Amino acid sequence: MASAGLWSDAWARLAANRAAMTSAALLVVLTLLALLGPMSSPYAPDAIDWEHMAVPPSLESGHWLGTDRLGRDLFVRTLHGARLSLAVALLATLVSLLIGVTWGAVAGFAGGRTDALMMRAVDVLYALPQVFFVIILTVLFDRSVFLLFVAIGAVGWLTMARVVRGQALALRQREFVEAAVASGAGPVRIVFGHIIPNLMGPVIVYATLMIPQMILVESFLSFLGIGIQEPLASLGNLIADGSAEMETAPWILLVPASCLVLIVFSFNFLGDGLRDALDPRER
Amino acid sequence: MALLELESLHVRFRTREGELEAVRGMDLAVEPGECVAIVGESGSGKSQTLLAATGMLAANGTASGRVAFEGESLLGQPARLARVRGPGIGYVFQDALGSLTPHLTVGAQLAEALAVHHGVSAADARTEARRMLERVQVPDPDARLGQYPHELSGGTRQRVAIAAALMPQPRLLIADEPTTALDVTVQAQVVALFRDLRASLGMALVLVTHDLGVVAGLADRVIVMYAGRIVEEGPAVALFASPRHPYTAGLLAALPRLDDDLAAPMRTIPGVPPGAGRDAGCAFRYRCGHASGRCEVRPDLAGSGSSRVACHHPRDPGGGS
Amino acid sequence: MLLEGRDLAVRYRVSGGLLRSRWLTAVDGASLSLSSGGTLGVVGESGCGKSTLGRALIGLAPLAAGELRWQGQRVDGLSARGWRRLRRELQIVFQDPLGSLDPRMTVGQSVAEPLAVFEPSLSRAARRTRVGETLERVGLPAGAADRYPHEFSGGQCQRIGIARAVILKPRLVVCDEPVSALDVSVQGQVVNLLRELRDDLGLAYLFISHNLAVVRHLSTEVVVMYLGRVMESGPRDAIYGRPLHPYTRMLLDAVPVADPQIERHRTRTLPSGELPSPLSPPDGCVFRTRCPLAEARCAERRPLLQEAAPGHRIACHRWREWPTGLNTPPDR
Repeated sequence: MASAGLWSDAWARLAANRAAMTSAALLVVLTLLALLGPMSSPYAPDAIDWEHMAVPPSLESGHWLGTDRLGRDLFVRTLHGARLSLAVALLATLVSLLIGVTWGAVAGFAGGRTDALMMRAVDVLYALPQVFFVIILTVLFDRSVFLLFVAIGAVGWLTMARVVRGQALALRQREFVEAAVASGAGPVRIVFGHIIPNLMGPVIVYATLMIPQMILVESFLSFLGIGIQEPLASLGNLIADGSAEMETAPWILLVPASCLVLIVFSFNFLGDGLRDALDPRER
Repeated sequence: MALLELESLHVRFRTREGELEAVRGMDLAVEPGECVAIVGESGSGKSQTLLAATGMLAANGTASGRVAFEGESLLGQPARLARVRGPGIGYVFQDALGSLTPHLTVGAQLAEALAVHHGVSAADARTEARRMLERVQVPDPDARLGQYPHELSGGTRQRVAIAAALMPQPRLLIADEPTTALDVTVQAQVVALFRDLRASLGMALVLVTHDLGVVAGLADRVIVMYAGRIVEEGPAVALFASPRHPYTAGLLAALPRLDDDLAAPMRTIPGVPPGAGRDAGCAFRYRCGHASGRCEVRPDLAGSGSSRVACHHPRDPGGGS
Repeated sequence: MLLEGRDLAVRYRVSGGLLRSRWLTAVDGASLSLSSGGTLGVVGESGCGKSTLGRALIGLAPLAAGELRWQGQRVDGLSARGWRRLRRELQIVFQDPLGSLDPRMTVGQSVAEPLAVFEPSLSRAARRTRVGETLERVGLPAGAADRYPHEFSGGQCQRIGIARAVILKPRLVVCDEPVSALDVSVQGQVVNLLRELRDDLGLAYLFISHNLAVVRHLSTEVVVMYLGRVMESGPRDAIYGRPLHPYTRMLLDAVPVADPQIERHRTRTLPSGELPSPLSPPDGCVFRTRCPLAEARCAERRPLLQEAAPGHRIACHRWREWPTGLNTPPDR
């Protein structure tokens, strides 16, 4: 019963969840590695080592996670790939958070015809196949990393809007929202002062679970060749590369694939932990 | 032999804030055929007492002490409990909608209550279900048999829940706040129904409630709980006429009546209902006008005959203080 | 008159498929008035429309028909923005003490919300002082402002809700079942607080409750509702002392007395059968399906509110045929 409030309660519960805390620590380490790790290595991500082409992981060669068939250091490339994949995923999630939360909260709070119109728009966008949508975008405009953020985020916010709208509809029925109306608060104040703060719990959880999805989407697109292109490395195109050499040089696939698995699992565990920590039903 | 017997029952819950003791040593004996009311406000432990006795505590709760039904110990005996629930002890909850299965018709759930324990044929069970609906004065029982719980009004729903509990002809019926969710006219009808049923079926009734008006209409004996302990018990007539514990007296005075003096403010008990903390003294002393230094030591429940009170400064049995 | 309503109706659309929509008439033809500093009690059982009526009177539920005046000005048909301007003077206290407070806000933020809306120029320090004073006025320490609602008991949360409602010194506060969720020992504390605030601040209340004994403590006038209609209205002493409508009498008769000697030997006259669905209320008098006095004309014509005594109005065809005693209808 400390007066520190609900967030600190949730924090205490999260801190007690070993799987979630381990995942969080792992993600911090991975992020730091992705940002700083490549500097610790003598190799540049696109530098070709003519003497060591497609060597397996070993200390003697100096490439302790091996090289690909062009002799590029896999450790550095994987960290570069993780950096780019994480950046794309985080930015895409942020974009979908901003659009999705605002859209969903406004629709849910307004209700009636406004809600119906806004949500039908979401339905229509939903009906467009995601990959198809991204392909059109990449055909119409130049290929760029920035475009990829936009393309993925533009699709991701739809689900976020639905989640948030459901929460907002439920919150609108709560007496404290009616109390705010009775206090004279206008719609802007109610949506941003009462509705959104109260749905942050589920939103944080959903966003955490959304990041690995975004990484997978990016990887998938890159794998198909419509995402991030060589010589830039992302986890997706590294895996695509590796899969071509799967039988002769499996490590080229295994190294980036393990990294992807690690990131995705960690986010999922953290998300589950957050859901347990923030879920008020358990109180 | 008493029908239901509790001896120094303790109920504890593990919570995030640490261990919380909801019931702190409760003794109770219910004789066949009598109606005992357990009265208390939020945090008194009245509901947890009976949930613990019938093995229905929430997952984070544990009960210790002794619980016996017709001499058989029940605590930690799930097989025996399962046998006793139904034909031995029936349970009616405050939330009738929550206690009825949403996807079963009224007829099906009533019949089920019987089939589980008696192995009665479906047709016989249905006839019995119809009889029981009539007995609890549900209007138009034939139509009700085919309806689902959500299609019924609050009062009818509570009657159906009572009927379901009565189907296996329990020797003890526990009703936990059975009228709290009901409107005042429906509440009066349900109280009258309980009175009729007791007269005709002769079962014992344990009524758990905060509503002294309902208690007055039904109970032979009243037990008043505060902060997980009994503070006073006695025959209903005596307890209402001359409460001895300051809390009982305060509760009775605080009950709004249609003949209250309007010039004066409403009578209340100052302060807030008890928290979960451990306390070596009388839990009521913070809200009590009679508290003294002695109240730092918890008074025992003591008295003569059927009336007992746990207070260092009990009021005169003759009334006044 | 502070507030005056004539033939007010509130209807809700209940979804009934794609093309046809059904309407639920929650309040129908309700008329009432409230003078400055007075308290109008609204009593009735669940589904009678008393809460909806209370909300409609302060613009929280849409009026479908009728004339509503606030200090002489027509306010029915006011836009949301128009109502918002009036909220400085119209406030509400809710039934669920904890549920009516935003769990993510401190008590101080919740109590200060009306100030933030209507006096945005107030400095932080001045706002804090006002919140502290108001909290102390409702019997809480000023330091409560920094804590969260879940740290308080039900009665304390209700005091917080009251502080929020009176911080702007409004003229009318709708109290929607303000003590129903509280322990009996605490109910009186809140009722007494409301009474003190009324006397100190010159508030008027619309006091909605199903508890007739509590309503009696605060009200100067009382309205009895059933299935969206006003059955009877009048001065408190008339309603409680000389109730005329069969429903009012049964409602009063149903109130239990905390005395086993009386309760055990008491026979009550209670409404028979079940509450009809508000989606298809009975024709004529809505109470006729449960009334011991109902006869043919009760189904044919809806009884209008008529004055039985000065200020005492009743909607019943047969009220004159009843003896004036508290109990027992003539033919039962």
